[in-house]
Amino acid sequence: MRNVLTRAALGLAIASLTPLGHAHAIAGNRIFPATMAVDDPGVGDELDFQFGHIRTPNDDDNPGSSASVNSWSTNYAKTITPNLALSIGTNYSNQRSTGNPTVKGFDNLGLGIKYMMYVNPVHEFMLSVGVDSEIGGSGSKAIGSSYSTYTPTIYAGKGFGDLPDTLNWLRPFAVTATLGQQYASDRSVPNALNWGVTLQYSLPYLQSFVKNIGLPKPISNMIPVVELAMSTCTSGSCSGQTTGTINPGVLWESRAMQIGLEAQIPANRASGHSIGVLLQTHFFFDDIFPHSIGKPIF
Amino acid sequence: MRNASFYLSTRAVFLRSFLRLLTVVGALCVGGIGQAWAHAQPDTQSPLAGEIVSAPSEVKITYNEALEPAFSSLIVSDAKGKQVNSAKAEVDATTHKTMRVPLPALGAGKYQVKWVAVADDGHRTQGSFNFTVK
Repeated sequence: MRNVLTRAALGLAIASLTPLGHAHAIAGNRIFPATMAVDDPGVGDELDFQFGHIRTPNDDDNPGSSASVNSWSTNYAKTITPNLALSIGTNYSNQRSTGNPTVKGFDNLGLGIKYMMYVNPVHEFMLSVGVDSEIGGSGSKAIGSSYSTYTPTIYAGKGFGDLPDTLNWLRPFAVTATLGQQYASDRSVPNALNWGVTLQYSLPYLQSFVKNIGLPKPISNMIPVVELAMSTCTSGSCSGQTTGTINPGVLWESRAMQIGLEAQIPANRASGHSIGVLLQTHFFFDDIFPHSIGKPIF
Repeated sequence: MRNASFYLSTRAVFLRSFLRLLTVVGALCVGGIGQAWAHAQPDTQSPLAGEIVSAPSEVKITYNEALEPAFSSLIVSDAKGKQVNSAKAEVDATTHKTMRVPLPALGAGKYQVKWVAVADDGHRTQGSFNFTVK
């Protein structure tokens, strides 16, 4: 039971370091940034790099022991049509725990497809659906699993720019959420409900659309954010158990790229005891190469 | 029969190649940042969002990239939603980054600016903000 939970925690920690398809997401006045642990609802041409470090509970019988996980991940998303994108991603992980040899290698290759179903510019609302998958056996034996996973997911985002003027200071807020049921090709592996929520406060939105309070750059380009990246086991002996991290941080946006920095705070004991870190560099190809690889194929 | 050292060295070569590829791609991206942009966003606005001002003679917004004048627009409305600018917004002919619209003499009250910016590659952005005439 404990091993299943710690595996789930480690898997979620690694998964949280492996974004599957971020997008330049615009709904009316609102630009939803490419959040780091919880995928945003947009579809776009993008390239994402992330480095993460976190300590996770060790998968052994020694209570309290943990593994230090460093992870370098990249993900590329390509629009096929303006509303449909494919993504491919990989992740290199290095795991060290006291008394054990270092384990390192590539995780399984991630493939994704996402379709933006609905955008409401007035109410700054966006809804997408997609499937994320990890191809079993495509990674190293030390890190990647032999089985594949498939996660049909719903992505939503809502900005609060439609609030009345009396609530002006709340208008830069936005929330995004994802909900995905993960299935494994190996029936002995528990399924999981992967869910995430972000709360963000856009200072660029405040400056341009609500009230310019004279913030200097680079602060005026920052978006403070809190992300909850969670996974709830839905089958097997771990059913009902939830692991995940709460990630407060900040995203800095320029015209064509984004840099992000977040802490990773374990949401509960099963998720770990130590605070980790996520660092992101994200390129919007639709802004960098608008006439070539940054535009939809069709 | 390949031994373990063969696989380790192959993996190390693969990892180095992968990291080099990421570096090259990242450099290409940074190098490409000098090219045309896609989504126009305001750099400066006059009046500012939420500002209380004496009656302005115009509304002027400078964007971070060139606009397509034929499809970009800027409309100013009063508190009742009635458009107050009779002239059409104009985009600066030199840089194509500044859009302005002249205003008649405005009375005291709240006004809303609504803009649509279509970049020269066709990407469309929009925005709105209020200012108050004292």
